[in-house]
Amino acid sequence: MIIARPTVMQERWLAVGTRYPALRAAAEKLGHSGGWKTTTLLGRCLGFLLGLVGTGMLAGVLSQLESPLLVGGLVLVAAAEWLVAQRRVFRSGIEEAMYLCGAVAVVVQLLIWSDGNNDALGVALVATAVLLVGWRLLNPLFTTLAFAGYSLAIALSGPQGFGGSLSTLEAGIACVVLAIVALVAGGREWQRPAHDGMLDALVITMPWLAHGWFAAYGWPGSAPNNWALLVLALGFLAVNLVIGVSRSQHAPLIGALGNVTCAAYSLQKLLPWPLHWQLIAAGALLLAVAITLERLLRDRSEGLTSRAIAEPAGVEVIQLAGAASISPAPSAEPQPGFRGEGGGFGGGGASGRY
Amino acid sequence: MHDLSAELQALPASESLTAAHSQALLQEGRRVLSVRSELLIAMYVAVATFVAGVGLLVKANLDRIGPVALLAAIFAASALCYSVASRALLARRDRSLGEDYVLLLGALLFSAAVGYAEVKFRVFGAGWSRHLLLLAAWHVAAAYLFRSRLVLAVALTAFAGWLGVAASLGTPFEPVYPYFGFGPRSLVCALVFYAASRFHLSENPGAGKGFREVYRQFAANFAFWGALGLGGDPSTRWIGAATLLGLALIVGRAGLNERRESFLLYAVGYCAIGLVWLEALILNSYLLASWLGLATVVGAVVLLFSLRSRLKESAR
Repeated sequence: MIIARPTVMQERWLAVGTRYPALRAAAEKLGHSGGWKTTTLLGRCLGFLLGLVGTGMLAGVLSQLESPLLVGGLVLVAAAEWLVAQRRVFRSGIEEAMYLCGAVAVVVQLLIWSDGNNDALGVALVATAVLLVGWRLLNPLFTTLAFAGYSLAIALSGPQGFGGSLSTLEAGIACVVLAIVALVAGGREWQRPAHDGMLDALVITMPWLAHGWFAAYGWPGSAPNNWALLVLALGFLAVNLVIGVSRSQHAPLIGALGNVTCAAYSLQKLLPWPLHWQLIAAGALLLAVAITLERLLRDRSEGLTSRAIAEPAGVEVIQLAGAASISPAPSAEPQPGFRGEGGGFGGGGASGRY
Repeated sequence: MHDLSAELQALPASESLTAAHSQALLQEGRRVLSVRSELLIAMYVAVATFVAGVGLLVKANLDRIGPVALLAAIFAASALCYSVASRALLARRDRSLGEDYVLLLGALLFSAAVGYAEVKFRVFGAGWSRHLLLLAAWHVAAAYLFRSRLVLAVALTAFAGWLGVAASLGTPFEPVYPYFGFGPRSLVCALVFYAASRFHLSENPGAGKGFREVYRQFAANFAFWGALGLGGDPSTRWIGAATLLGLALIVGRAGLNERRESFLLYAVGYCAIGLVWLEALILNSYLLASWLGLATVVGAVVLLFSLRSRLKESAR
C-alpha cells in the first residue's frame, strides 16, 4: 500500500524552507519538495482552528443520524485523506484537525457500541488512534498526545479506574522511561525531520508529565514527596543541559526550561515563604540567569550563541501579544452610579482586576 | 538528530544569500547553536512571574507594609530597570535582548505602581480612569525614547484600558454601556492606532521592526474585536456582520499588497469564525446554522489556500 505523504527527501527539502526562511525561495525553485503545500506556524494554527470549527459544524449537521460519530468520523478521515493525497496538503493544520477528530470519533463510537467498562482499554484505544494519525501525518504533537494518553491508560489500569485511586507511580515511571528512551534515540541520526521532531517532543514533555504523575502519588504535597520531585526535576535538568549543549540540540534545552518550572514548583512547596516573595525571587533569579547567559554568549560566533541566526516568522507578533497580555489590567473599580472620564465613556469596561 | 547539510550544499550559489547559506551550514554542522529562542522564553516567563509576584505582594500587604513604603519600593525597582535600559541609550548602541526585557519589566512595574497609587489614594477621584491615559502617555514617551516595540505594546494596552477595553476574556460580551459598549470602543481604538501608524509611513512595512507594524497589528485586532462586539449585540448585529466583512476585505487586501501573512490570517480567521458565530446567533434552526457554518468554514479554507498561493506567487 502506498501512503500519500512526502518522501524522506521531499520532507527534508520542506524542512530547509521552514527552518531557513531566507533560503525558502531558493529551495522551492529547485522543485525537490514534490509540490507539497505547507504553511507557517501561525497559518497552521489558524488551519487547525478552522478544522476544529468545521468538525463542530459537521457534528451539528449529522446530529440527527443514528450513529453520527461513526459517519462523521469516516467523512472527516476521508476528506482529510483527500486533502493530503489529492491536494498535496502537508501540515496545514486543517487536515490534521480533521484526521484527529475523525479517528477519535470512530474509536469513541466503537467504544460506545462495545458497552465495555474498561476505562484503561478505552483510553489506550483512543491513544492508539491518535498515534496512528500522528504517524500518518508525521505530526509530533499527536504522537506525544498519544503517549500521554498511554500514560493515562496505565494510571487507569488499577482496580478502580476513573473516580478511584490511580496507578500514578506506574504512569510516572512509564513517562520517565519514555523520556530517557527519547533522549537516547535523539542522539541517533534520523533521516526524516518529523521522526526527530517526535523524539524532541517526548524529550520536552515527558519529564513534565512524569512530574505531574509523581506529584499525585502517595501523599501529595508531603515534604518527602516534594524532595523526591525536586531531585527528579534537577536530575532531568542536569541531563538535559549536558545533552543539549554537547549535541547542540534545541529540544533538551527547551526541556530544561520545563525542568526549571518543575523544580520551582517543588521548591515552592518546600519553602515557607509567602507566594508573592517566591514569585518575585523566582522571576528575578530567572531574569538574572537569562541576562547573564545572553551577555556571555552574545559575541560568540561558534558553539552556543545568543545571537539571532534565523528567526521563524511570527515571533515578533507573538512577542507583542505577550507583552500586551502581561500588562496590568485597569486597577480601580467604578463605584455604583459612577461614570468614567475620557470623553464620557472611559474606563466603563474596566475589569477591576489588578 | 538530523542534518540538512547535503540539501543546503545542493542549493545554487547566490550572492544575496551567501551569509544566510553559510550560517545555515554552520548550524546544520552543529558548529553553532543559537539559544535566543530559549532565552526569549525564559525572559518572558521571568518578567511575567516577577510582575505577578508584585501584584500579589501589593494585594497581600496593602496594610502591613504601608502604601508609601510599598510604592517607593516598586517605583525604585522600576527606576532601576529604566536606568539599566538607558545605558544602551546613552552609549548610542542597540539594546540587547536582556535590556529589552528589563525595560519591559520597568514599564510593567511602573504601571503596577501607578495603578496601586490610584487605588490607594484616589488621586483622580471620580475620574480614576485618567491614570490609564497618563500611563499610556508615559509609556508612549518611553517607547519613542528607547525605540522599544514591547513598551509601545504596553502603552497601547493602557490606552485601550482607558477606553474601557480590558484585554481579557469575558468583557466582549458584557458591555457596561449599551450605546458605547465593547464594539464601538474597540473600533475607536483601532482608528486611533491606525491613525498613529500613518505617522510612520516612511518605515518599510515588510521589515517587521518599526512602530508602524505594532500600531497596525493592534489596529487590525481591535477592529475585528470591535466588529465581533457589534455582532454580539442584537441591536447592532447586522452592522457588526457588515463591518466584519468590510474589515476582512480591507485587511486581506493590505496583506496581499504588502505580502503580510499575519493580515491575511486575521482577515480569513476572524471573518470565518465571526460569521459562524453570527449565523448561529441569527438563525433559529440548529441544523440550518450547522449547514451554513460548515459551508462558511469550507469557503474560508478554500479562500485561505487560494490567498496563500497568491501570496507565494507574488513573492516570486
